[in-house]
Amino acid sequence: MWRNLPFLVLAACLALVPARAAEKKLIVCSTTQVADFTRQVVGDRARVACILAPGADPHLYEPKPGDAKLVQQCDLVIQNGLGLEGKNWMANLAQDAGKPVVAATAGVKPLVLDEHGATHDDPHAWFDPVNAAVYVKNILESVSKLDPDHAEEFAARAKLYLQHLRVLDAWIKEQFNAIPKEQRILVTSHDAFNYFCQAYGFRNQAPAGWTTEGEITPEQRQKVVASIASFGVKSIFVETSVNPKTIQDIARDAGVKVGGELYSDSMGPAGSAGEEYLGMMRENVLTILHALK
Amino acid sequence: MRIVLAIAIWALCVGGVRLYLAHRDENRPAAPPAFERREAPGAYALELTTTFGWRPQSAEPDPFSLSGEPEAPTPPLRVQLDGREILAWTRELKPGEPVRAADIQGVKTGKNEFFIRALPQGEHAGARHAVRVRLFRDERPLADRTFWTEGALGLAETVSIEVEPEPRAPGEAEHAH
Repeated sequence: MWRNLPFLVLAACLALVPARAAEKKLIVCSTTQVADFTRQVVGDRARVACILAPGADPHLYEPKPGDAKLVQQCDLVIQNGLGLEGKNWMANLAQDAGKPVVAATAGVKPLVLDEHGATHDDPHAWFDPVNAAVYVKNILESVSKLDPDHAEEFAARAKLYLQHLRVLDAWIKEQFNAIPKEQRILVTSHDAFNYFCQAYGFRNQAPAGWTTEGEITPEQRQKVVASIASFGVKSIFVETSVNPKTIQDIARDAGVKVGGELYSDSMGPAGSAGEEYLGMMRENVLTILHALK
Repeated sequence: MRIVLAIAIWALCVGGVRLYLAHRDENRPAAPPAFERREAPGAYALELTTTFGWRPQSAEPDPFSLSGEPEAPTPPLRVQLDGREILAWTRELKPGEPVRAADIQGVKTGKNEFFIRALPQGEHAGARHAVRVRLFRDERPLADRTFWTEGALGLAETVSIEVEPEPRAPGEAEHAH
């Protein structure tokens, strides 16, 4: 009997603990960017889980059985929206589980892309810090409704994070001022950087179009090679969440170097400089600056 | 028999811990009464002078502000005292022309912390600008300090001013930190 005493005492102690952990709401986010913004707003007041792993592609993602289970347990689903989640996989998971779903891009003025006569809203809105501020405000509104007791605290965190975004935006403008306007051309694997280019005065070229789905045609590739030559582009860039082969081939054909790897649809793994939005943007800017200056 | 004994010991442990948690604060000495601060006598006014200007007509909505109204411009000057807003300037601001918040309520004896927020916008955004802050008691200067804005963040500074229960004789300055 006495052998079991330590276990009994431990069990008694554990019995007092779980009630506190269970109080926390669970918020499930589709992408790493949305999860980061949500963590910045809720702090430790809620648990934030992300469906996509760092480096995963939101356009092509196929939900797994574990995702449905996670969404079943959550209190709120937050997705990017504007069609980033290919075939609407996040909204479908939320709908199947009967959970409320919020689009973090609600209210963003979308850029419209025209591809072979078909138009799409560009979903990569987070690349402009002004839009990132819209994400944060939408997230603040939804988590404040979910947990009104801590709304004031959420607002205080959001206010601080918006100041970080303000500084980031000003810092990027200052950095790119060092690149002459005519040299600001960004060639990347797919059309993820339109908002970034619009905000900071870049022209952009992406052989694969707005989504990573499908192969590029030889005509598209030739067009990109020709425009690289005509604009006198120094470097082109691969993306962390897209196969680099196409860009490497284009660089070889056009006789330019690959300037580095940019975080695009997904942020970096834990422990990397790009594991948070601010770090991801900072590293992208420094990579572009280093290659084009 | 063993299982009964195990349950009894478990109940004893849990009961003991719960009893301890419920009564541990009873024998603690009572917290000291909150320090009461009295309203400082006199009429207080705050004057701010900036090296940047601002016009409400030309101000665009601030995308990084958390204001309730998304289309409302962010005031270029705001002052708080003890978490209470005492100034939010929304009219035209001219460089070098003082902005005055008169009849400030809530100034207490002892230390008073004013939070000053200045945000140069539009053509003035990002450049270094100065903000002069003066506090008056019965029209006599109590504190006079100048701050510089820092890049995109503008100025977010606290001014701590010690206010004596009775006004000092002319020439005797009170303390600002």
